[in-house]
Formats: sequence, structure tokens, C-alpha cells
Amino acid sequence: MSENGYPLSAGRLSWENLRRRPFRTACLIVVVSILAFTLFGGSILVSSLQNGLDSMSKRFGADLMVVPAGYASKAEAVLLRGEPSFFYFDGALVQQLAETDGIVQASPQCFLTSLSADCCDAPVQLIAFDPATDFVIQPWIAEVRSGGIGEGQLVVGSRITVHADNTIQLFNQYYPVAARLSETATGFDTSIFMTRNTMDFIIDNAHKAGYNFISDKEPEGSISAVMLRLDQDASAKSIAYAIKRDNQNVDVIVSQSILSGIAQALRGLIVYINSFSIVLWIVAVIILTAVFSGSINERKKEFAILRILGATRKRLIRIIVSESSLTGLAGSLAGIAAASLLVFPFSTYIGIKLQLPYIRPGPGGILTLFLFSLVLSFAAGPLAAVYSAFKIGRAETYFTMREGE
Amino acid sequence: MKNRILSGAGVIVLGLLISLGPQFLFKVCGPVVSHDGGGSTWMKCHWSAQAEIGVGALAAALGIAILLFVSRETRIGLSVGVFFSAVLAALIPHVLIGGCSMASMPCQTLAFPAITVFSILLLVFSLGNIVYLIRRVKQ
Repeated sequence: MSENGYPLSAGRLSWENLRRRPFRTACLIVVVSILAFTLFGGSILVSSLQNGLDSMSKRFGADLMVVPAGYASKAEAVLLRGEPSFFYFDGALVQQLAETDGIVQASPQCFLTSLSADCCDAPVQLIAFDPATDFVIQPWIAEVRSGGIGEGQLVVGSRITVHADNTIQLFNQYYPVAARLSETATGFDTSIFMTRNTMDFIIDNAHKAGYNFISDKEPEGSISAVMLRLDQDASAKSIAYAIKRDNQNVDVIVSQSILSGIAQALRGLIVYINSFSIVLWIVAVIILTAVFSGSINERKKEFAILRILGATRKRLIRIIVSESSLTGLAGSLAGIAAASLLVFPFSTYIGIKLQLPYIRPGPGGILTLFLFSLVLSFAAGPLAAVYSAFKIGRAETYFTMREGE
Repeated sequence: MKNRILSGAGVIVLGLLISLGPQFLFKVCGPVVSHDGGGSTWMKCHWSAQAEIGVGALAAALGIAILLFVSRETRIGLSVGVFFSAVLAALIPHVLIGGCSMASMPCQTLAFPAITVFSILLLVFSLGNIVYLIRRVKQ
């Protein structure tokens, strides 16, 4: 029986051993928790970045985007980060582009920005599409709302909060929100979508309320971008070149170039995180092996006394393995808890700082990564103690007790 | 003695982070300039940060009291106060006052998550201290 009156089982002995050496135990737990922190935090990061890239590729929809000359970087900022912007050119270009060889669909979009004091405490991007030709926004709306949106209705991105009565304020007027779109990790998450007629209606109301739009062109009748879908066999780069050659006043953005640039940055980061996790796991196992080996060597006589008192070799091994399992479990849970306090509350901030598409995995994905990290980090403890456990199990009690005499 | 210093200092640090963090370290959003030139208005997150000054300062003051009082029973009572201050600190940005409407605003991306994390740490810390002190009183 232990001093607290509990039966002196292998587990109890291990617990008491750990409790009596708080500094050593704390050090072992810290090593495992750093490992668990890196494994869980890193795997959530990698999974979120992969989710973000998948969603972004799915949502881009158009192969090419034609914008006024000099506004390509602003248009990319609208697409990737939702930085509000507006620029206009003549809508007559849509028909010309639709008739170009290799282009299957052409649909215009018109951009406008809201006021800071409006719906969202900051200016947001308003995007109007043509329901008759649109192939980018409507399939996405169809995922959350059948039948599309009617005139006068709005659809908002996932990061925009609407009033309890499902309305939002734009230019001092309230408009109904028909649906909120799923997260995309693009600038669309902080954008508001509507049909072209609805945007004209909003602009009209804004004019009546005394708002004027500062731009070289008023938005009515103009467009900001033309989204193009190409024939499967067509080369995006050569069509982009041909459009630019025929129209000096436009810039052409190739979606594949943006996506491949992001994918390349992402690949580098993922390789770095994975390599770091593997190296850290190996280092942690080496450190734990050294610590367990040293500590068990120091406690050889204690184990010899246990053998004299009747403990079998198997029981000694069980004591050492359960000691390492307890530290492994405590360290793993502490590390995962610490990583959770960082990766979950700050996920939007991490995405913004990385400037990469970032979507946190769902509950199932998080649970899988939790179990993966828990098993790997927990295993480091017992794995590191196996060698020392078998060494002490093989030692001859008589010689161990006489050692040093 | 060791518990008194550790728990008191921990509560003071976390209380100060909750109180002053949104003002200096992880700032909330600035004022919105009115479009008609009628000055600027503060957004909801500003008032959340103002409320956190009081709640965080209260937690820090309780931390000072934990440092000063020797009686374990008194420190249990003070830690219970810290626990509820932590709950209040976490509720202010999410339920009681709130913040900006867009999830990508500085208050929603950095300030509120930081307040939430420090509130959780304060909550766990005070709960741990309560359990420890109750066990010591019973011994």
C-alpha cells in the first residue's frame, strides 16, 4: 500500500515516482508538449492551407478576367483579399470578346465599394453580375439557395455579418439579404453580390440620398471586368495575348497564373512545416531516450530493491513504460491545448498574415488531426523508454545492489 | 508563500494583458470617418475594449490582493472573483457588447481572439488555484 492508502500497483508507483520528481517530470512533459504543439499546430496549418487552395481553385470559375488597363493588380486584390476597389470601362467590349475564337462564355461584372459607416464598419466590395450570362457567381449561390436571387436582393460573403432582420445597410438604405455564401478563402468572403439591375437600383437610391461616386466614370452603363470561360483546348495565355493585342485599353488576368503562384508558395511552406515536424519528432525521441536512460540508470538500486521485494521483471518494465506513458499523455494534451489556443482563435489573422488562402478544416478533419497528433506525440514517450525498460529488466539484482562497493 | 507569489503575479499579468492589451498591444479598430465630414464615430469594438480596461483592472487588483493576503480561505474567495472576472472578460467581446460586423477587421482577427485566449488562461489559472487551495485547506 502507498502512503495515501492506495494499492501499490505499477501505475500508482509510476505516478508517485513522477510526483516526487516534479522538475524532471515537468521537463519531460515540456519536451512532449513542444512536439505535440508543433504536430497539431502544423497539421492544422497545412490542412487549412490545402483547403483554402482547393476552395480558391473551385471558386475562381473564369479562365481569364479582362479589366481596364492599369487595374490588374487592383482586380487581383479584389479577388484574393477583398480589398475594395472600383474601375470602369465600356460595356461594349463584352460582345466583342464573346465572339472571339476559343472563348465559350463571357460575362460582365461591375464593382462598387460601400461606405465605411455602412453595413460592415469598413468599406466592402459590391459586385454586380449579369444573371443571363454569369457562370461564376450563380453556381456558387445555387449551393446555398435554389432559384438564385431576385431583383433587389443581395447575397453576402461568409465574413459579413447581417442584421437580425436579414438586411444590410448600403448608402443609408436597408436591403434584404437572400443568402450567405460558403467560405472561399478569397476576397469574395468580404464581398456583397447582386444582379446588375439591383446595383443600378442601389446607385439610383444613393444619388437620391445625395451620394456622389468619385470616379472618372459613373458606374451606370459601365462595367469593371469581363469574366471569360475558354474552350477546353484553348490556351489561356495565347488568348490573353490576343485580347491585349487587339485592345490596348485593357489588362488580362490569367487565373491559372495566380493559382499556380499561390500553389508554389503553399508547397514550399507545407514542405517546411512537414520537415520541421519530422525533425522535431526525432529530436524529441532522442532527448526523451537520453533522459529516461539517465534517470533509470540513476534509479537502478531502487529497481533492484523492488525486485528483492518480489516485483517481477515484467512489472519493472510496466512501471517504466507507464511512467513514460503518463508523461507522454500529459505532454501531448498540454501541447495540443496550447496549439488550439493559437490556431483556432487566430485562424483569420494567420490567413491574412500568410497572404495565402486559409480555411480551417471541419470538425471531422480537426478530430482526425487531433488523434494523429496525440498518437504520434504520445508514442514518443513509451518508445523512448523501451530500451531503458528492457535494460533494467535484464539486470541482475545481486550485481546491481553490489555495484559501487 | 510560493503559491501566493506565483498565483498573484500570474493573475496580475493576465489581468493587465486583458486591460491594456486592446489599447496598446493588439489594438481594436480605429474610428470611422463620417462620409459627410461630420467627424468620426467609434465602432462597437472600441466600447468592448473600454469595458475590458475595467474588467482586466479588477482581475489585476484581485491578483494584488492574492499577493497580500496570507489566509488560504481569503485567497480562495479572491480566486473565485478572478474566475468570474475571466468569464466576464470573455463574454464582453462575444456576447455582451461585440465588435465590428466583418470578420476580417482588426478587432475580430487579433484583438478579440487575444482577449479570448487571455480570458481562458485566467479562467484555467484561477480554477487551478481554487482547487489547489481547497486541497491545501482540507489537509
